[in-house]
Amino acid sequence: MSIELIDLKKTYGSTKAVDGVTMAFEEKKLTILIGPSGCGKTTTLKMMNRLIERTSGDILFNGISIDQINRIQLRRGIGYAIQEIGLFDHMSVFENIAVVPRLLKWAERDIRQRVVELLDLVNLDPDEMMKKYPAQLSGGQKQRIGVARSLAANPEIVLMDEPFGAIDPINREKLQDAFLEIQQQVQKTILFVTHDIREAIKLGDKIAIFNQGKLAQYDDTLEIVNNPANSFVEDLLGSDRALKGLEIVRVKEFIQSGSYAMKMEEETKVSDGIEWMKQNQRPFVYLLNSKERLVGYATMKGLSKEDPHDLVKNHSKNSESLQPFSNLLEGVTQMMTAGVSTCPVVDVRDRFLGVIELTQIFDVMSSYQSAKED
Amino acid sequence: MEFFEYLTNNWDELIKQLLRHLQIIGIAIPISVGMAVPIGVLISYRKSLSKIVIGIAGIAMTIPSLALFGFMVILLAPFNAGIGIPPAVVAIVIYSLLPILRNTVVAVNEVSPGAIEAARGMGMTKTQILLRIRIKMGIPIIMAGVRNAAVMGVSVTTIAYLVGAQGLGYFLFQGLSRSRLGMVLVGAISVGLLGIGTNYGLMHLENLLTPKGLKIARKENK
Repeated sequence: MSIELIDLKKTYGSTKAVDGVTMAFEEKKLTILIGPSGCGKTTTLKMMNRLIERTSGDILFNGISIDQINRIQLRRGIGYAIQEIGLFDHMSVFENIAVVPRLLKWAERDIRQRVVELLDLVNLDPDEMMKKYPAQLSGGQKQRIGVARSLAANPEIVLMDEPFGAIDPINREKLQDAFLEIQQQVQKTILFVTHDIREAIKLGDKIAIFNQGKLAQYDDTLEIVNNPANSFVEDLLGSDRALKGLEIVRVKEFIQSGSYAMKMEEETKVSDGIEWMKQNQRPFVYLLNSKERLVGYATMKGLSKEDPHDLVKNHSKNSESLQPFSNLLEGVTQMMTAGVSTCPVVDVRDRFLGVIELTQIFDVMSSYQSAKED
Repeated sequence: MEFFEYLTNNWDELIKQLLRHLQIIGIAIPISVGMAVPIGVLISYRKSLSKIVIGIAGIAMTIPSLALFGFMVILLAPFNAGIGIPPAVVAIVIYSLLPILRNTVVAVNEVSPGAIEAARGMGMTKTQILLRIRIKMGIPIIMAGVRNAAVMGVSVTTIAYLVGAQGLGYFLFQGLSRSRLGMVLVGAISVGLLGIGTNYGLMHLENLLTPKGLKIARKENK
């Protein structure tokens, strides 16, 4: 479904909250609406499901004016997730996700199937989660349920108003990674409001920058980072643009799949680990369990001090890891903090996918630097 | 001693008056709930209106119950209902409107703005939001108001004896005028126990009506 805004305006008395915005959203892409508070981004978003009525201009869905669409039907057809999440405390997780399907009078069996599917999608265990109540969930779990609920009736369009705004930074990055994986699977047209430029660069296929009710720039994320249209956009991006550039590039594009990890069996011993490292000429090895999940790592130095007949899993050290949708800035930060030059990449279920090396990231950075000097 | 003697000799009278007492409350409180909850919901959408209505209900509550019964007797006399159960029921309805009304308004408005925004954004109609979200989430608060009203009703009904409504007030007022301590004690203790029992019973009902998720939320917040 295509969405177009035509000279959209919203005024409150003499204040122009949204002042003539014209833009078309790209289907199946994630578009970020960003800007300082009071710039009109949230107002614009809420005019699209008529939580706020516009003053003038028009919003077209597949060319049809928003006025021609019943307000309630419109809202049921568009997913909606907000910072406050707004889960209903008196309803179980199942009932919360089932709200819109029930409003649309789906068959109860289809609803059940859909809820299970969605909980899987947001990486929560359906059997365990369905019967729980919001008060029993952590902040991150609630937010995942909020996202699942917004996708419940399989809408083509999803509006999100700072959905990760209230989550602490560490969990926010995890949620963002998980969210990117979800979007890759479901391919919705997502309009996502945030005030966090790093979140915008990380998540957005396109970014629309708002300032004082007007569109300051609207373009592909890379284009915005490389060619800010004016000083306002430049300021928003901040001075560390070379670093920001790293945020566009995802780890998954740099995964090295060579021999870095050894799958452990029940009986794998310290000597087997040392043997493996000698054979593959590595000073360290990542250890995987029988399901290919990352357990930790061991070094040649460390293992050679141990009893060679002991099980190698007893000498595994905890390892940092990255996910495919993490960006290179997160990668470099994590490696610098841990003091390593190689970091394993795992999927959401901790399965080992390969590694990423610090030198690769430096290469990307220097390419940005030289592009700037050109 | 006099107490037990009176009690054993007037057991049937006690049962009779207790049933009468319960009958009056049993008629009045449902009427009051039936009036106050819908009115509360209707006025809750307008702040200024709810202030006025709650103000009026508050004034009604400050009228001493004896005076109110006096009014009732005069006002209802033309309808041949000035004496007996009708003035008692009307008075209790008037008294219990305020706590139920006030709690309903609070309950309906108390629901977090985030939940309401999510409900609107998902395409619930105003009625659906009211019935499925606001009232369901407000049940504990509304029920607390009902409980409050019913316990008050127990004591007001005692005074209704004076307008010929009978009830447990019989033992108190008759006992006082006859200077029979045992009779007064029977009245006082039975009214006291009935108040406690009503409170307890309605707490139980409140617990039954409260959605499970809210109980869990309350426990987690403690």
